[in-house]
Amino acid sequence: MVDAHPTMIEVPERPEVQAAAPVRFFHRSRLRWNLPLAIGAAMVLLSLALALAAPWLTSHDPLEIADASLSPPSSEFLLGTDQLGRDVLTRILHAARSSLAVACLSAALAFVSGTLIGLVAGYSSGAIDACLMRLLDILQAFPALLLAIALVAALGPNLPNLVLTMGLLFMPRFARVARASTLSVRERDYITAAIGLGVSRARTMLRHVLPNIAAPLIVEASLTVTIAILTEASLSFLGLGVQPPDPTWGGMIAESTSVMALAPWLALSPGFAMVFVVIGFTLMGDGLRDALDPRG
Amino acid sequence: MLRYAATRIVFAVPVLVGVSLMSFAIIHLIPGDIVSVLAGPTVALDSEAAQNIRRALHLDQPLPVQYGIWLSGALHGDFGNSLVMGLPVGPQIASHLPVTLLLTALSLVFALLIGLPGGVVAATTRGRWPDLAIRGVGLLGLSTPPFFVGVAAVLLLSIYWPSFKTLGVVDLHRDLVGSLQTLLLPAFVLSLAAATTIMRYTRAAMLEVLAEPFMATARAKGAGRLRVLIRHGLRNALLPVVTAVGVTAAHLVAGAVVVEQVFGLPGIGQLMLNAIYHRDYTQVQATVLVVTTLVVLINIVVDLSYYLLDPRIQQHG
Repeated sequence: MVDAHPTMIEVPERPEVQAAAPVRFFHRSRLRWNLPLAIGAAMVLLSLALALAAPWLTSHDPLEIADASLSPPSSEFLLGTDQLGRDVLTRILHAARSSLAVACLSAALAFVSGTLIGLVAGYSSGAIDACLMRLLDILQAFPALLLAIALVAALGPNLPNLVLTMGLLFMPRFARVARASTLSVRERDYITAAIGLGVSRARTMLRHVLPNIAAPLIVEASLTVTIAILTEASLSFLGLGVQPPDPTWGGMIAESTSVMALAPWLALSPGFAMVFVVIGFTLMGDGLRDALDPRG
Repeated sequence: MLRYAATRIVFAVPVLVGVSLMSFAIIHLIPGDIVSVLAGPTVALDSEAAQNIRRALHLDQPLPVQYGIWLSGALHGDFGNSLVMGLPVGPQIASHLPVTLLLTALSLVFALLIGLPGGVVAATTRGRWPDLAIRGVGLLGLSTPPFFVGVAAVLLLSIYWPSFKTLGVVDLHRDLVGSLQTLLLPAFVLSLAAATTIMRYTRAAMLEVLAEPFMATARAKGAGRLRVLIRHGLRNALLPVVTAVGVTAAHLVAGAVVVEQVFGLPGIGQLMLNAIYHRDYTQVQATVLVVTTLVVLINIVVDLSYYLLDPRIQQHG
């Protein structure tokens, strides 16, 4: 945990400092850069940039059907074409957009809802805490992927439902981390001081507790994105992700299995793209944990 | 022991009730009227046929009554009839479950065979190349979903080792040995992520144990290096590893659903996905309930095994 700092209590009193409060953890003195963090962050940034710039990076359209099905990698189709003659590189880049969108949005949803629940549970303790935690126990008893499959199948496979379902599934992770950290921060002197000064309950939680439990939550967010990407890929492999013809990594791998002997590049390239992004987020998460851990 | 076990089981009851409620709720999450989904758009919602479907599914009853009927049936092993086949769901699950259980158990064995030695070696060579290599491979193992490993493995084996039988028929009753052989590759593929988790837990636990004074004592008393590592080190590091097994069990069961699809294995995953593709929601409901209950039970067994492994819990509990 971040140590109680003398200036911490003053922070909410000064609007101009308040606005900068969330950035505090990335201040040079707090964030000690390490190799995994640097490599991971670079990989994540590269992936995000490629995904965002996808429409301008290749001269093809992900749905455009060329008169060259299953053509091997060439100068025109850098990673070849699939059985319908669509450019594989273009499809991989566009798949990154939907995959990263689903993963980041569901992680964000889980982050916000889970943090709120954990904060309230940890800060109020007693019956509210017990009730919320038992509900999370139930949610976590399900094997995540299994529940995701069932829920998406029932609700219908589309982007909002994927984000909702996965957000719900990942929410307990954040709630537990937030609750545990809140329990330890709650006993700090600056919280007692805030209460003594008559700061309201909600304000104490959001302005005094939240900034001090942010570090482990940020680490959790980075690792949750990796699980979200893998879950989304598994769902779309099973045909329960973003629906064709829009490309997804899992869907591309699933489609490729029928022509695997003829066109091995079809199965491997989307997989490698996915593994690259996941490794990036994992390294970033591990690196952040080391960088933000005051004991390290 | 009995008291500890009893408390643990009592604690699981509300979780299981919640699990059954959520499994029950799945069928009611389907947008629109389930009857129109089942009967097709041509059947009017107030027609005789629609009413019959409603009655058969007890949809004309209030929700709590529906849940009661469903749960009491489920407790007796009656999960209702398949909406598509019209056959009882229970026997279907019973015939598909062994393949999934065998696949999960085999991959757990693989995960332990890879993860335990990997973790011990990584811990003893901390910071040097074997440690870095093991952790690097582990990162890859965690970052690659089993379905991609499966597809890549089938692809590479078919190119470089054409005689290796990557896909085969699994029929536990007729050909147990052949089925086991067929399950080896899927189990290995499924085990990689779990092996990494177990490796990480083992490494962390071993690093802590290695710093303990009793390790130096054992060495000083003249015990061999390997003996110290295994008898004094690993035995004391085992408790977190058991936790890892509990954590991975749930992942393995869920992962099995996907891996079965890659290798065409007739397990519970195939049953569930076929049910989903055919909109057979009673089947989906029952499958989710059975598998999740199984995972809850596995976690109880893991908790109880702490008790057997660690005498310190026995004194407190």
